[in-house]
Amino acid sequence: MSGLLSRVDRMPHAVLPLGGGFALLLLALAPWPSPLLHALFDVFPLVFLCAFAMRAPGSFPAYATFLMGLLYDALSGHFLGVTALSWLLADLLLRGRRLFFPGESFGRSWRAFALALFVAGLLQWALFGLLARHPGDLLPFALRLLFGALLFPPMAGLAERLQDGRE
Amino acid sequence: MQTRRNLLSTKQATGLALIAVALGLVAFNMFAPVSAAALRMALADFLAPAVDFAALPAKAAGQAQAAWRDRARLQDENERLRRDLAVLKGWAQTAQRLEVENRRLKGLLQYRNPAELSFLSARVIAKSGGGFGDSMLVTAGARDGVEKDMVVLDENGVAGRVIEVGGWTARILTLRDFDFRLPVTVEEAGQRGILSGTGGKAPRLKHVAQEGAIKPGMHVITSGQGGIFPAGLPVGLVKDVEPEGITLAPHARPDRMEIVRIVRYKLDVPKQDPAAAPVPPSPDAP
Repeated sequence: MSGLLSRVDRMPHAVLPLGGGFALLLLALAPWPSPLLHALFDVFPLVFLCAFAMRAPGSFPAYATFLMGLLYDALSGHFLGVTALSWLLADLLLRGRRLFFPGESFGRSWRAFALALFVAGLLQWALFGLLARHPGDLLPFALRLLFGALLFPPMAGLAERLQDGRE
Repeated sequence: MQTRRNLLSTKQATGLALIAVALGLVAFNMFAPVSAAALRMALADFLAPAVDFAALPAKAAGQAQAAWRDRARLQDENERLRRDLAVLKGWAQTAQRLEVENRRLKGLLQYRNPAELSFLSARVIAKSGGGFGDSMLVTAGARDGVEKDMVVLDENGVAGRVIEVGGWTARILTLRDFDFRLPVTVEEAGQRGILSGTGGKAPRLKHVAQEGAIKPGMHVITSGQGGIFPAGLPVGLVKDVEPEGITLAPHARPDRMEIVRIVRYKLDVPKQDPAAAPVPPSPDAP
């Protein structure tokens, strides 16, 4: 009986990462009434998956990152694969890095995240420009970096708490 | 240790395989854009109910913002509306009289309407921006009679056009998008041109014969040139006329759109009966 209750107790820890990621993806594409709100919600999925890749990689597999990117492309009308590729690259970059620097300070994690966010954003921007044959706007790119950097601490905290719950 | 290494290599292989699939998809866009669009819309159709549900907080935020805005200006607006109503009552009587007269004159001329317009309302359930194009997903698709290239209006004017159609949903390219083009006329100047999206907020007017004739504040409407879009739909005002180009201030507000109207337009070209066509005079005829 206690085993069953324990399993039920752990269920949210297993479901929340994938369900939460999907919910944030849908919120990112919702028709927010202001461009600033839109820019804020737009960065949530990437911050979420980066935070999980660094702090709780077992909770959010790489294929989920790929699927999220693919769905983002499909729903936003972007070229298929562009967001999937850039998010996957950021995810794998951070996932791999975690193996070499276990137990590093939060400040270093934050800087590594900002770098991954920049690389992913730059790749997305370059690929879009290449396929659309015109450069994308740079202001949303800068806003995404800013909001992403600000959102990382709470998201990383959530990921760590979920990871602790799983162990 | 060996198991851990194997596990790592499996994860790395999965990552590399996913990157290869993503690269394949990017190439798929380049070499088969029509199939890529069909796949996009199939996925959008499948996820439309979830997207629609997730749009509720954004809708609530929009309504709260609108309520806040409205509260501040309610009194002024009430006063203005009363004045407008008095004026409009007078105009309504004039319009009714003119409509009767117009019908009578059209009957005398055996005039045919150049186009049949009908409208279809749809809800906006997703928006994309972020510097990579400006489009919206709406809750109307092929099953509702939506077709590619149909014009889309908000309550103020032209907001975009349909670029992709799924069974239940359609994607609309807004007039802010870099790839948006629309043949327009500057009403007061009688000049035709092409409205061109910039990716920013102010679209530009290009390919105008006499730019000097255009002044800020003039009204811009659709020209109907080419027969794809109906003529006379309100688009916006001329904002600035500068040596670098003419910028427009569109009436539509893509940021605040919740409901849009899709214009179903059929150009009513009179069919000519070959037997009834006038016979050209013979060169031998006296």
